[in-house]
Amino acid sequence: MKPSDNKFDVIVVGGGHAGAEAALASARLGVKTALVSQDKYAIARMSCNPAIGGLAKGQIVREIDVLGGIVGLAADAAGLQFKLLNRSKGRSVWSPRAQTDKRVYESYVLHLVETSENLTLLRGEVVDIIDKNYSVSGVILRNGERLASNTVVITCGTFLNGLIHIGNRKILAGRMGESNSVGITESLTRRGIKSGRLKTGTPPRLFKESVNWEKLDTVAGDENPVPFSYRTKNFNPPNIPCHIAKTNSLCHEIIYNDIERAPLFSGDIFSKGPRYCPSIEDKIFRFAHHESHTLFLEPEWRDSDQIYVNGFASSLPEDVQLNALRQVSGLEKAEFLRPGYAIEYDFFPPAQLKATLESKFINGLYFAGQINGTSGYEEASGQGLVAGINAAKLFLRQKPLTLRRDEAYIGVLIDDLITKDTMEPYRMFTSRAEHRLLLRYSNADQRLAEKAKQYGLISDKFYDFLFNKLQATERLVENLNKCVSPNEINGTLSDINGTTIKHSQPARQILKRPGIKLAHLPKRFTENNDHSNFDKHIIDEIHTEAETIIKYAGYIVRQYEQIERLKSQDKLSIPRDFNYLSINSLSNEAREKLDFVKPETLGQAIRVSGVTPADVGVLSVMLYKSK
Amino acid sequence: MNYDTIVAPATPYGIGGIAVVRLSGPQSLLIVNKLINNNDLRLKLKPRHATLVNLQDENSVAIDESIVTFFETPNSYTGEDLIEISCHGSPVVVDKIISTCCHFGARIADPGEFTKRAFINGKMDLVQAEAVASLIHSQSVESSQLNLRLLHGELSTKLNNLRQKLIDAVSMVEFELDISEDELQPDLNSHVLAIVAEQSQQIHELLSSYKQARMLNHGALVVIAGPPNVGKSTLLNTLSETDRAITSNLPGTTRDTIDVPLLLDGVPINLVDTAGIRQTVEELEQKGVNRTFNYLKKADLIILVHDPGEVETLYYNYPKNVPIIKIMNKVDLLTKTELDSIQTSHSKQLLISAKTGFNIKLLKQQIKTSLRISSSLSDNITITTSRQQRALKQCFNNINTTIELLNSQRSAYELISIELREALDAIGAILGKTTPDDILNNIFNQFCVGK
Repeated sequence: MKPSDNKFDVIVVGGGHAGAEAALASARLGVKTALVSQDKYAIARMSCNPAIGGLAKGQIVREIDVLGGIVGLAADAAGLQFKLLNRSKGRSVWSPRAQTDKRVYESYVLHLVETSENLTLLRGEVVDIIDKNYSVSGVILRNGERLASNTVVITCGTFLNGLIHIGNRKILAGRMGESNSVGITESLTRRGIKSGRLKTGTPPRLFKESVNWEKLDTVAGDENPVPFSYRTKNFNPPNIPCHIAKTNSLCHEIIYNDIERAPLFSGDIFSKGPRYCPSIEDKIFRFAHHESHTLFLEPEWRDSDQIYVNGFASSLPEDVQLNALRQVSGLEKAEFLRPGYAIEYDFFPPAQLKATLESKFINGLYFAGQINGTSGYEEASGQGLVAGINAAKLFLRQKPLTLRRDEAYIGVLIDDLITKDTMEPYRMFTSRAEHRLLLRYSNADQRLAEKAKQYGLISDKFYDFLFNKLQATERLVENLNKCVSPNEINGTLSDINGTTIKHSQPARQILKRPGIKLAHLPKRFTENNDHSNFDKHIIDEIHTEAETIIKYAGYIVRQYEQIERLKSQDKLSIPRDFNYLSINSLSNEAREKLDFVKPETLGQAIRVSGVTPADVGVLSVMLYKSK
Repeated sequence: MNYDTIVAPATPYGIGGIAVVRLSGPQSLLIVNKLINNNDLRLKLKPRHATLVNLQDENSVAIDESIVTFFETPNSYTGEDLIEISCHGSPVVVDKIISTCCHFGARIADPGEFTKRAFINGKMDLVQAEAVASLIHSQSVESSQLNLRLLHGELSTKLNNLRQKLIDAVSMVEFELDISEDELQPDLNSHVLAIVAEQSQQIHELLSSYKQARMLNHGALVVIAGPPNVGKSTLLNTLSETDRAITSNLPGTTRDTIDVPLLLDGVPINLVDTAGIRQTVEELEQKGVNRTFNYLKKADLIILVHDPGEVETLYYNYPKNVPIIKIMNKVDLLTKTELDSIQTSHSKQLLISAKTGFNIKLLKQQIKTSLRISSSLSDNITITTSRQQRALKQCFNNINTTIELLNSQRSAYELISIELREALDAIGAILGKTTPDDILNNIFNQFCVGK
């Protein structure tokens, strides 16, 4: 190797969802990037469920897409079935999800990584970082080789000191069958960065042939699927069903009788697991009155002989898992390809990061993904994208990208991470966003296209497309100020039991009524709107958005007013060296929490857990004093 | 300097000769002009001139005649446009002025906020920063302690219950929006409606109790009761420092009730002396006893009097929700030894002598404490400050909008969630913040989540 071969502008450690997104984002910004992974065939590996998107996560995928990321494109390419969830509920919680072919997904991303300009994929295990005067300057591999770079993104997933539990069996691994990674945690804690331990789990995989499929119901996707990515062309996915099985009392009894053998119950595991994704033993223990739990049998890839048993995460001994599962109708002869397991791993409490995902202690060192205490491919990808962009921006000496809570779920995600205590792996929920109504999957472009352009994250062509789409939406909304006459609309109104009108009225007034859709209005409102160059699903989305903007106008204004009120607090920055411990008027809890978190702005300080409005009042006075 | 306009009483809460309300911020003048009834005086407030005006609320209902003084920025306490309204010292008037100001766009100031603004606007020396900070701290500690005191009884239980019910309702909604991938549950609407309709009723009761503000407006009803001839009338005379009640050593001297309004260290009370309770055949006396019973039901506080000779006999069930101070009168007739022994045997009773004035100061203290501390002054009156009232009003509006949304069958649950969260935020102004994590925790506790 020539010396220059070992020198990069940005190094990304780990090639999971966060790592791949980070490396690609950095490379797109034109800086020389290295992606270091133990195994090139594990790039963007879907370790757990074979699906992308879902409630709140689908919105994140859309945001990543508008910011130039790839998870949406990959999911569209790999999708086995697509579904827009929550269709019967409110518009802001409509969320796209796809069951995906893991192999296609992984090879799609690998292909992008291998063919991307400015990006080098290196095989190796990083065991240490090199730093000087609180700035990172490179990494050291297990074989002693050194790579130089002033910006490093750490995305090690569950690999750091990963420990798998199956009953009382313990295996050192990062994922089943892949060795874990030792050294980075120790290297970072030596430098004063705090670490913690979390736990997550995954269900068993079954041999396809061992399932009696005849006995199971099927669930298919939507008949008119919508792609995640605005850039996906020729979208024509299959609609491959998954299957539903139901647990029963016999199954529950077997688990209940041996529940002590699960490491969480026996006391082998102390780390906190995700409550939103409980193991089957946990569900049976805590909700004993539930007679049955639904299991989804999902293929891991097209024609896969490996079946994912969604809903049966477990760390019970293999024999108990298998025995219990065999009580379920259709699974009487089930055979494991591998049992479910729990895994414990190191994470670094993310309150030690800035909103850019850069460490507050070591310049140039970024963290993204599960090591920040999150869970989920989408959460990891979103962080990876932001960390990768900002690593490149740091090298380029350009302004870093931060996202606000009111403009993206990724903004909510990162702000929560850096201000709140991490008690369990963090998963996005729409209810975490106080401005949920503004964060729709169908308006990610409205929210983020300008920023994407401003930071140079997307091509002119893509931006122009988004711009045209937004213009079309605005024109349509404007158009709906025009009036409809009683003649035109009363027929429709009486058909759906609505009150008829006596005089002409602006169309938007009619549209505001419950149950009225754009399609109920005369065709002239939608027809003369020059949509000809858009695909049908884009036109549908323009219509949905126009409807939403009008129907929710009052609430949308309310949310914007709230945002305005809070904005000044987020503008007021707090010096890094601000001494909280010396302010006696702060409550003890606030003093300690603020000293640990070291918020960057007054807005962040307010959201730190345990900080009261009185503390914020004191803080703002002291901030003025220090100015 | 882009602040909103804040308003708060500058004088302590309670009845006094004059109370002062202060507004500070860019909208102060605009807001106060909207309260001024006299057309000719509107928009003509001169800086540093006291102007007598009639104030009215947003519905043009007269509030009070007050003196308004305008301090123009930067020559004011806070450095902003500041207005002082000197009104008559009744909590009802003060609250009305404040709520009208809020209606026109002001916001109730946080503890120490006037001082904080003064500091920020350079009206104070920099070395005073620490002092300001600790002032904010101490005021908020004080106000939270005050809140705790106010909230330690029924109101606290009621509000906490209310909050928990609202969290339950939000959790149901959020479970559907955030976790469940199934179709919307058909009975979600009726479940949420049942919860919020009940809470709406509860808040309505609380709010109407405040409107009456009966106790502070007309004085708390303190009823002296007990068997005949224990010195009730003497006690009334002593407490009111008058000779209103005729006293004698004959049982049954007082046949009618006697009502004396008085200020007990600034707390307005109506002190009522009643006919002694005993079984009687005499018609006139029986009528007096009946009247006593009626008063007891309405009382905010009962002073139950006995004397050492009287065995405590409970021939009447005193209303359970009214605080009672039990006293033993005529201890001046006892020897020192008797006094000591009775002090141990009747430790829950306050020993006094209405005749000599022994322990009367202590009794006055207890009357005041009982009236202020107990949130169950009467079953209705539970909220006491304009901050609480505004919070509950906000909450009430949100809940009623929720009910409208539920009844419109729009299944607009994300809007319902916004309304319920705002309702919770409003209660948060009294009880502390409800965070998204509180809601998620509740969901994880109550629902079996995860595939």
